[in-house]
Amino acid sequence: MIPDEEHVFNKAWVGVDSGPLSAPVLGRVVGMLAARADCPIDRLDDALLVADAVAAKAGSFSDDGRIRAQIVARMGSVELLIGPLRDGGADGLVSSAALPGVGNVLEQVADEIESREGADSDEYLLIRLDFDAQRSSTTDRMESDVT
Amino acid sequence: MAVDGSDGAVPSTSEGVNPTPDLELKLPARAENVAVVRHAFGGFAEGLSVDEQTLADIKLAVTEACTNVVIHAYEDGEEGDLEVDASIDDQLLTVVIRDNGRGIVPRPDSPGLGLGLPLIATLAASLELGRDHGDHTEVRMTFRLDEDRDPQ
Repeated sequence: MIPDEEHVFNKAWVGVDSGPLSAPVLGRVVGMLAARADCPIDRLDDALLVADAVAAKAGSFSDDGRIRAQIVARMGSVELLIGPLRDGGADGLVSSAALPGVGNVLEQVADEIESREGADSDEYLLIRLDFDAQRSSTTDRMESDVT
Repeated sequence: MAVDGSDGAVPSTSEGVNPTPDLELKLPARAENVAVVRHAFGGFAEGLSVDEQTLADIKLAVTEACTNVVIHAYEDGEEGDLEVDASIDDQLLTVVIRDNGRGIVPRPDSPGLGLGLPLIATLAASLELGRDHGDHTEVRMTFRLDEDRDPQ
């Protein structure tokens, strides 16, 4: 389930059990897709922060404790679509990212956070980070890839 | 078809495997995504504290299998998926690389040297090639994570 199939440069679907494997795996996949989409280093760091938060908490909001996420790299953005989640899981996952003295990590770094309903009526959480692609040569390549 | 490169008895890779793998990845079968899978396995091994030599073997074998999918599975211009599952069961790592392409067939026009599968067979404890119940082409390999390795 990708909300908008247009301008997708690359995508990956990840399913991993919640636990010690989830953060290293999800972080690397998100990091690779974001980096190849020419995400600048500060936003790459934000993307990894989001991946770590999702890896740490998303399992608590799925029916079987498993983390499932689709990562979509577009020109100038990277999106994580997490789910299916149980009812109220999207809001719960966002709320769980609040840290004392820091605030809500997801809300601070993401440009869009939205609860979505899939075709199967399951709940998903969309987290989008926007950025300015860095190298024009790669931007050209991305544009030619998506047209 | 099975290729068993180990001395010890290795359980059949088709039996007794966790129906939900510890890790599932699905990506477009493109060259750039071979690196994504390789990197993901680096993270997977970090979570498992796998020794360096075993990790190098796993990453090389997985890279070869994924590269085979990118080069051989789909016709030129055809967009297809590359699926990777990994499961741990009692110090035995089972990795399955799957695609929905034309299957493993001889290619007289192959751009490669034909070393990929023999290399995987050498690195893995076992290797099976076949098709799953959904008629996907499958390369299934196992690695022992508790093997004593002599650093070379």
